[in-house]
Amino acid sequence: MELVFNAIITIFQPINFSLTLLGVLIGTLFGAIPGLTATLAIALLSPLTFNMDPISSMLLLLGIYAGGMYGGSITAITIRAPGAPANAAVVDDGYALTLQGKGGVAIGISNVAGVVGGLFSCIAMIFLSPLLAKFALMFGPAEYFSVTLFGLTAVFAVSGKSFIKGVFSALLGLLLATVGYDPILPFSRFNFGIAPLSRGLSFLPAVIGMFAFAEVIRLVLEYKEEEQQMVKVDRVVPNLQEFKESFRFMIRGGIIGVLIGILPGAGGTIASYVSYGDVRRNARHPELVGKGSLEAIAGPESANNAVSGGAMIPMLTLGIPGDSVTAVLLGAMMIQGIQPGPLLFKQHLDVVYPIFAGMILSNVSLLFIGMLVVKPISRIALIKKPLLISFLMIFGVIGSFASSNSIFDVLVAICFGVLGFFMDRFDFPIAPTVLAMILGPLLENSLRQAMITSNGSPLIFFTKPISVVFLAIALITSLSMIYRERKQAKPLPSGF
Amino acid sequence: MKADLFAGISGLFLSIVVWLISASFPVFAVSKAGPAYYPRAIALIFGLACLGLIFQTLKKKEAGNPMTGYLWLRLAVIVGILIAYYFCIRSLGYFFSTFFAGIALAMYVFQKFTVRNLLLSTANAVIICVSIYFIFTILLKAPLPRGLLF
Repeated sequence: MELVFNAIITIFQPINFSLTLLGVLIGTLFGAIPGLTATLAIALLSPLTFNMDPISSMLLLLGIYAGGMYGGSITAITIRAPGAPANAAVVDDGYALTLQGKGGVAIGISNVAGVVGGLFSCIAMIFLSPLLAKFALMFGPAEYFSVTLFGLTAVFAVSGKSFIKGVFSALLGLLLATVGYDPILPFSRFNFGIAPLSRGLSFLPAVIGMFAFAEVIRLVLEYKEEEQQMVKVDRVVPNLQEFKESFRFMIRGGIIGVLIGILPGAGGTIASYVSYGDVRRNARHPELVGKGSLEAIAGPESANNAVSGGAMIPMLTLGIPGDSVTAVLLGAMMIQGIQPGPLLFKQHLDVVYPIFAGMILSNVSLLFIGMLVVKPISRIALIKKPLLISFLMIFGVIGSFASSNSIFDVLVAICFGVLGFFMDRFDFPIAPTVLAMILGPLLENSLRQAMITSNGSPLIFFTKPISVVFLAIALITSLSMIYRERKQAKPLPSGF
Repeated sequence: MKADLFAGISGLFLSIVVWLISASFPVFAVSKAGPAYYPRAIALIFGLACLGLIFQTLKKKEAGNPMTGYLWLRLAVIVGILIAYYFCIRSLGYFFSTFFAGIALAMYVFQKFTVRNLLLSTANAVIICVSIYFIFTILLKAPLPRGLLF
């Protein structure tokens, strides 16, 4: 109880409270700009947090996470340009409502739904995380290897159009993660005589490159001069009747979002489309879905925001991120000296509780900030793209430098930017590479520790029940993806 | 698709290189899982995946490359600006290089050289330069790249 009380005091300290609000504001801004996502915002702004206290830095990043998930719906509703793929599910209904002069209410419902979904996922996270952490304490190296492998398999199985390309991306990430010092022996691998490579490829510059620089290149290549129309936004706060009409789907969306968020790889896009399908089947007026239904805004937006709490569960308890946003968050936490995993819940509850409280505060403040900034943000489309591109490039360069005060990291980020651009262009999913880069050391460490324990026998992975279960799930996930592709079934939309 | 084929062949080449380089890594006395064990295992699976990708691409025989000559040119220019910025920031430091890189990139994207665009790009570069300096140096006490020209 004392820890809970301390956590509340911590998050309401003026600096922490302000950073949470600032994070929500920045996240909402980034989310609202088409092409920019919460992942990109966290990757770009993580270097700013290195000189901060770990709790303060986490509160800023969690605020960005919450704001980023919601922000994309504003431009999806007002100008049919979703800020992120996860907000695409509300485009039809949101824009139809804008044409009917109800765009403001649609954004208001999206905001409330995001907050309800986010808070619902926080509750799930608070109750489920300690249970999973307790279970994870039973894990040895073999179990860790199998769980990590399962996490990676699930990500590449659902994150792209082609299974083989997903595998390619994940394995490329695993190979890149082997650069630098061996995790057990003091021996540097694949450094080619370049001193900075001895400590490995820094994760944050790589992520900044793959998201920010790749986006800069894409924006430059696809740039067309066009004037965006200003959209007038009317009343934003929904009335009681509108709220009551859509509340049912906010809860249903929240449940869908949490369940999907826990699964590695299945991010906000899948959650919001699953919820959209749920609304189509169960809405009071199904004929309105796609033509301006508030229920069809509430469900997907609630599901999208609920993914955040769900995805935090495996990240905090196992140290295994479920998507690229939590992968970047994990990277930022590790730089701050916080090592997520079951021991975090045993030894550092002083860190865990402020994170829980910070997630709740982020979502509550999203309700107010989200409503207040709608009108200025709906004008965001008027920003000249060349100026935005220039900002992204400069911030990307300085951010990659600041991650370890190394100019070499800028070069690393540029190389990863070009790699990320080509991968995106030719339909190789980026998320498995990012996740593999952060999971690679964990996978190698657990594999080699298990092999040492078993005197080099790989049978150890098939004699431990938990390990066998996760290996079986990984195999089934992969086989089902291959089967689905062979049957030429419609692939799932990208979760990133 | 040409790009998939290229990715498959490059990946295969990379996996062979990783396999060969790791042959020179020291052997671990306690277990056969030494420094070469994991990279070799990943390189082997990666090589097989690349063969799968090549086979799949040849089997599908899909035509088309979404990169035209014009796009390649624009890509070369943007990467050129990034690399030039990297070398400038290394030698000249933060302010000078960031200011000019900001203007150069914005003007290139605008595609039209007008006084209005130039003023917008310059104002934007000044705002970004000063804001980043304020956030990093004054607020966070974090260093920015230094060089000959501050």
